[in-house]
Amino acid sequence: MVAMTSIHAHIAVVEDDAPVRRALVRVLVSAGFTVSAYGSAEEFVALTDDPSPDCLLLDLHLPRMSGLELQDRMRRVRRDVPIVFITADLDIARSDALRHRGVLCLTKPIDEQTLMEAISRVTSHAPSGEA
Amino acid sequence: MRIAGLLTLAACLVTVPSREAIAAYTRADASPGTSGGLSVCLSLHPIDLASGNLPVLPHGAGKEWAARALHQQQPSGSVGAQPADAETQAGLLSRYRWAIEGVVGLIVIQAGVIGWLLVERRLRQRAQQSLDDALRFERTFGQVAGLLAAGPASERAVHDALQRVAQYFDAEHAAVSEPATADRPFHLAAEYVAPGSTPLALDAERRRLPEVAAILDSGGTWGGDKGAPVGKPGTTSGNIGALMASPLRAAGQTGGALIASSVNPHPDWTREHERRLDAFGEVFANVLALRRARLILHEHEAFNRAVMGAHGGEVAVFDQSGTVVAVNEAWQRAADREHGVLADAQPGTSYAGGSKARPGQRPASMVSAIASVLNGGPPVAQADVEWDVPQGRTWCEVRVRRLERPEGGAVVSHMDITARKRADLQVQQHLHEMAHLNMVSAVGELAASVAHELNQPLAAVLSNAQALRRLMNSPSADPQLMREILEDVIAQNQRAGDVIQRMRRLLKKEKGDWQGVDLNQLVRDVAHMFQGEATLGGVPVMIDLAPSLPPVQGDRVQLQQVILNLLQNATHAVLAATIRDGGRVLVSTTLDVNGVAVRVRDAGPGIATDLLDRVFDPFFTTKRQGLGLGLAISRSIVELHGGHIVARNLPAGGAEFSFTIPVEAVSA
Repeated sequence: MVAMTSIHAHIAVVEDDAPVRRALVRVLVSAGFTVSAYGSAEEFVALTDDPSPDCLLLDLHLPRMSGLELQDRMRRVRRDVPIVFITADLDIARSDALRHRGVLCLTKPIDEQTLMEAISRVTSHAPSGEA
Repeated sequence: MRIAGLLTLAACLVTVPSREAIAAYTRADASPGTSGGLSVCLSLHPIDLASGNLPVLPHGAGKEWAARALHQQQPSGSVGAQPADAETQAGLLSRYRWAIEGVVGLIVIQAGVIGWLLVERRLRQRAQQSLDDALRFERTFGQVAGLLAAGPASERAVHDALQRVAQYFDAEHAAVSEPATADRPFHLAAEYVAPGSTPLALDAERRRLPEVAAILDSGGTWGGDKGAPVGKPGTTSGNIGALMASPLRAAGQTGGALIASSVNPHPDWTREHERRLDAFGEVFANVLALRRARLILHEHEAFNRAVMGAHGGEVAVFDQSGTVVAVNEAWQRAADREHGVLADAQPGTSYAGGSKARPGQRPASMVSAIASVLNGGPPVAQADVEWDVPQGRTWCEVRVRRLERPEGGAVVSHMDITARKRADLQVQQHLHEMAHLNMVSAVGELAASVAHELNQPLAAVLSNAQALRRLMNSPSADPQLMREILEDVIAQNQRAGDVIQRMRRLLKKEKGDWQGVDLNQLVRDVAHMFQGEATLGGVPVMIDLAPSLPPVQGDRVQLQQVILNLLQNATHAVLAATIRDGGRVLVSTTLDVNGVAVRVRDAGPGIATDLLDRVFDPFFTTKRQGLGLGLAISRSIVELHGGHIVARNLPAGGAEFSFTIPVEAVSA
């Protein structure tokens, strides 16, 4: 788990692929966000405390509990955290299941600009910093 | 009869011993006193012989008369020694005594001759009669045998022969009965009825006939003088006065009888007639047996013709030398055709030699199959042959079966299986097309998987690079962090390269040429590529590989397709089962005597027993989606590789699909 402080928004990254997770954390931190990272949905559920992150960058395809399952679970406990889904599978990103949920999903590899726009859209928090 | 008279005269001449006797005979003839008896005798002979009515003197009377004459002679003889002058009569008597004695002697001798002649004549008559009868029998027998020999199968000939028999026995009926049965002691197979007579009324004698039948069955002859005739005088029923029957024996078997029947209750039938009826019976028996044999033969021929004709294919019988001796209609038609493998295979020609116009035209596999059966190989041989005709390719199934008979030979049948073969090929073709689609789909799955696999390192590389770019703009950039980022970029680049490498390995194909495939590597690549992906529904795939496997010859992409199909089925089965922990798929490889075996086991619900042998059929599916071609295609691929694929249920639950690909022996 990597955590870096930021005076701006707090982003939680849930991604099982370690190199990808590291890279995402690096790009977010360099953009000035406060970032916490988790290797699985269960890990996120177990370790995250109040205050909730301002935004969740959530991989759809996770072992055991998938990104969508985590979303359902958070809704049930009324932790309404804005989520940006990410996936390496273009077909799933464009699937009806996601469209019906009205969620935002980005396809890997993710350009930093696309990422920033998505985060700002779901949080209405314009990231500030060096970028 | 004149001859008899002359003979009598000759006998007289021989009997009279001296010249004196002749003289006395002449003188007696002239004397009125004695001329009566002698002349009557002489004149009577020719007349009597001609009329046949013999006024025969009783033998005793003749002798007595002769003896009396001799007795008169004796005293005269003794008197004759002394001269007698007293009595003229006595003197006359004594003077002619010798003459009287001579005449009487002659008369006695003549009477004896006449008696002998009468006996002789009667014997001669009887001999003549029996000779005539024998000749008549011989003649009739010859006619009967001739008629029956000329036309044994003809009703006419049998009828005519019966007519001769009836005429010979002076009978109104002659008939041949069929073998007796319980309810029908006599059933006539053929009958002759004399003109003016009615057919044999055997029904009226139904009560008595079983006795006759019993005697005939035991091999005896029922004859007129051997027990009561069937119809007794006064009790005659129907038109049978007397009846003779002789059992028909041929080839040691008794069956039926030859019957002669007379309206007259007391015909002049003797044991000799019985024997002659037996003789006729023998001829009839042999002919009827021959007739029956011919009928059976005809039946057999008809049966064989029907069997051969009913056969849809071409059938021929060959002799031991391979010459066509009999064919069915289909064969004949084929032999008459200008094209085709049977052209010119006419009866009487050698099959193997082919036609003169097209020598060696018959496919070698056909010829060798036939030769093998004819030359003591297995009694049955089969060969599928194909050849080209102007209309296209033709397939034929040739079956050869040895004829189990001393002179050898074989029965050959050709069945045109072109339609079946074409259908098979069409199905094969369709399956290949489907297999191609399946492969395209598998490649599509692979592409999706590759995209996913590549996107992960690409995502890491991109984000790392963009983070680094930001860091480079920052004066407080940590060189250590930047080095770490670069290391990650290099590693992720390497990872992407590996994915492409793996994809290339899966898709690598030397065109038209099989290569050695390591099934362990293939299973590893497929499992890794699709592990946990949507393709496999996220079901974990465990692998358990044999330590080392010899390569099998085959098409890498096709074999990968099989493994992927089996994995997909297995994961679908697991997903269909009640969700439980540990639901997973196990792929294992082993090396056994048949080659390399790949087993895919799932913990699903298994396969219904009655469907087990249908799962490989095309379009068989239990899924709502899918065409049901995956397993059919997999089987066709495995069989193309010389292997086989089987499905079974596991005792602990779930199903196992396994396929084996033979490991080719390394040949020089």
